[in-house]
Amino acid sequence: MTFSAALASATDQEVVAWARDGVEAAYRELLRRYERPVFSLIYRMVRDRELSEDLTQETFVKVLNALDRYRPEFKFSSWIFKIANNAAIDQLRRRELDTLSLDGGPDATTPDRIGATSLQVGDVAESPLDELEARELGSAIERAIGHLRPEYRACIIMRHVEGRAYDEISDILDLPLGTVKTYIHRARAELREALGPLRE
Amino acid sequence: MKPVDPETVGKNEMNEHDETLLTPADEDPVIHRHLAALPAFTPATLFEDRVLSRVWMPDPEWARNVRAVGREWTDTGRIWLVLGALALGSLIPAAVGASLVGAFASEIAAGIEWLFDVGLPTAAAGMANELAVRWSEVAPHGAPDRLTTPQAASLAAGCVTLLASCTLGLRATMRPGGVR
Repeated sequence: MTFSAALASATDQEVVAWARDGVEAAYRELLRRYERPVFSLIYRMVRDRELSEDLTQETFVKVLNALDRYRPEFKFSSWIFKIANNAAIDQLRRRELDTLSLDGGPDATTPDRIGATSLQVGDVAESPLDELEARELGSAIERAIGHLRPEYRACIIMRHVEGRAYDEISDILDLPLGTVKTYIHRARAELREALGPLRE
Repeated sequence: MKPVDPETVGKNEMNEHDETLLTPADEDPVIHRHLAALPAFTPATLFEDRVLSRVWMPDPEWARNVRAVGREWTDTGRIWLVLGALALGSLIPAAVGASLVGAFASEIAAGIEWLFDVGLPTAAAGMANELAVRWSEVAPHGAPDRLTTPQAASLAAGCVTLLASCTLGLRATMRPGGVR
């Protein structure tokens, strides 16, 4: 068996052990295994392709630079998803704080000042990236996911898209198992409502 | 994160009514069908390289072992013993080589002299001659079938010039000081 075949069939723990020994192919294997699920999770959470790339990159840099602190008795996937989810949630919180009022900045008291600080919704040309995002996230189910609360969104994506077990989701999100079950139940109900006649 | 207990991997730890045992498809088949069909997104090209350019990779194990041994030898002073043994070891072939050169100095000088004065020029001229004679066999596609005298002469001159310049280069670098 070639080394690349051995790497491809190895467990995450074994690949991490090789990476700790300085084998570059092992780092590439970890990236190959997780770049799509991690990027997909972050993209569906923050819904901005460029930002998701940056956050995914930060997640991998953080994880791969801390491999010597990784303990093999834990699941590697839980570890990386936890860091990815935290990055996405932090970003969503920051974005919430940074959101400007459509009616102008908080210190705007005169009509001129309100005009200068308000967001002009219609005057921003759609970039090719925006078009790509609209195409990728534009289906009914993607839009319905986008309307969920971030914590519901993370739970439902991990359960149904990534196929993670409840207790693993509970570990990843640092939430009690019961809360995870409730979030998933509510998320499904909201999705059912949003999808309505499209469901069957 | 909870550690994975190897004893319980693959075994049902919960009772059969526990909903955590259900697969996502069992829990809500319709929603699951919609969600499971969603595509996985891929980051832009060269993502892997961009990440790896920011990742510090440890040296391979053998390199770390060599460094560790080197450190240990330096700390214990064993390095001087090893370097001394290596120096002694390399002195033996050097002494053998020097004694051989000393014993056969005149023969070596005569051989080199012959190589540069007779051997290489003859080989160069022979090669040009052979090329002219066997031109019809070795000529590249589209070349004339037969070389005219000026063409053969210029080809031979080219070969001789090339080999002569190689010969002179070799001569400058290889000739022992005593013969120069």
